[in-house]
Amino acid sequence: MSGIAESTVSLLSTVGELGIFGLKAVRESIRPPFEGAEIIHQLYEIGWRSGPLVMVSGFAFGVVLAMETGASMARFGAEAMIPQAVSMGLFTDIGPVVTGLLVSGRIGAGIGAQLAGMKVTEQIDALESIAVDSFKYLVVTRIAACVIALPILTLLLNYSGIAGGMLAEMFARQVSMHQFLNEAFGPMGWSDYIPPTIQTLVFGFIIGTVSCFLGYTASNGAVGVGRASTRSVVFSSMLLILSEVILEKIILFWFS
Amino acid sequence: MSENNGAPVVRFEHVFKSFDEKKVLADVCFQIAAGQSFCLLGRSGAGKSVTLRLMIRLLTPDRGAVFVKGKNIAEANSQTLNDLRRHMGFLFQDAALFDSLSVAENVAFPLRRHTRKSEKEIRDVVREKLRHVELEKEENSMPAQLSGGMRKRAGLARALALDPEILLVDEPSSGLDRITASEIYGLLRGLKEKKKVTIVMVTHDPAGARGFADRFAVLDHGAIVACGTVDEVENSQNSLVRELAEGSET
Repeated sequence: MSGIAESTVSLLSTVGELGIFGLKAVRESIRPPFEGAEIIHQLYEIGWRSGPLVMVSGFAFGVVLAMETGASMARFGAEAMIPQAVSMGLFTDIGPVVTGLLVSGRIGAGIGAQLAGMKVTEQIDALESIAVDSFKYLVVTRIAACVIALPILTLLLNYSGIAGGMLAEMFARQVSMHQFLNEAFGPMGWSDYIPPTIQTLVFGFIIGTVSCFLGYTASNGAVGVGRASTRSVVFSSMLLILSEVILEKIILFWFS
Repeated sequence: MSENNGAPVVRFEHVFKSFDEKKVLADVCFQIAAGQSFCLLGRSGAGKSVTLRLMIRLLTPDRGAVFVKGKNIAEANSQTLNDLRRHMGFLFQDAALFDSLSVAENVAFPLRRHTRKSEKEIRDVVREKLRHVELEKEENSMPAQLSGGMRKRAGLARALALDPEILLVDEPSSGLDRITASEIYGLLRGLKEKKKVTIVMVTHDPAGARGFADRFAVLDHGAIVACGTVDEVENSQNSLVRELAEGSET
């Protein structure tokens, strides 16, 4: 029983520390000096280099989505709704979550391992010793890059998915590109774009904060580096799905 | 104990430091004069590296004050702290080079952050620092491609990039053979003699430091048990102090 109590206290303590860490990152992000060059470098590492993974995955999701929904809709004679189902499914539901999970796998692990490696090899202390605010330089820049990159990557995944779905439909039902795009985007309004985009900003913040926290506070040498890397993926994915549930409720409340 | 020749640039006043239940430093007091070479000895876990880290506020004391250039670094605001750190260099035990940057980029890093030098001027300074530590041929190498001794020298070049007044050195000879270690000590001796840099060094190898260290202090169980010139420490009544001061040569 005391084991459960200890684990609960430890978990709550970690959640509290993570919250303080995230708030500190927000506070430091609006205080000069701003590490513009490093944010751009991190955008390249986090955003640009995730592009191929996100595009290929999005394309595959689009193909699968078109084929799966196509099979279901054919039963009801509603094949004409397939483009809309693909676009709505990608933009409002699957796109943000899938991008979040993909990025958390690729970037979360990378950030966690990189910062943990820097911590255990005293590189973070070395930064401090040459009068560089390591928190600002390493943490704030990575979180900012995640927040900026996630919406862009999500759009990339969504449009790749549309391309995949369109290709599948062109082969399966001989639908023209013009017809598919008209049917896919015709019924969509700003309210279908904005809420999921806001969602991805939050996902970016979660992925960046969790992985930076676990990397920046790592200890115990190589074991600590491995643990930070694994936990970054696990915790950021879990929090991402949890926040999806909460954000979905908020979005329904605000935009319905 | 010997008297200091110049004004103290580092002063510890009744410093206490613990990690959880473990007391590392208890009521530590000493001071280091400008231009002096100060060597801190002690057994493993005696608190030597902790003392060094307190000087540049990589750690803060639980009680007491650490003055650097007359300012209490433990209570300094971020502006003052950064100003003080710009006058200090730190050579870490394993060099702590940024592994995503080349040797030249590591040395250039502090210059890019804290000076308004042009890229050409930075390149010139980097080459000069790397020449000083005899690493000019390795400027494009990545840290992972360097040997232990080369990494130390690259770390020294980075620590010297901003021409610090105070150089903190953590175990300069650890993991190195005697010849490579003596090369590092030779570089430190040159810094003391030519550039008048104040050197604070933690070491297990006092024999290497004997040629240029002005004062030795011995830490034991969190307290300074001896402090003075080489002769004073070597002739101490305390057998541990004598053993540590005589080092590996005995």
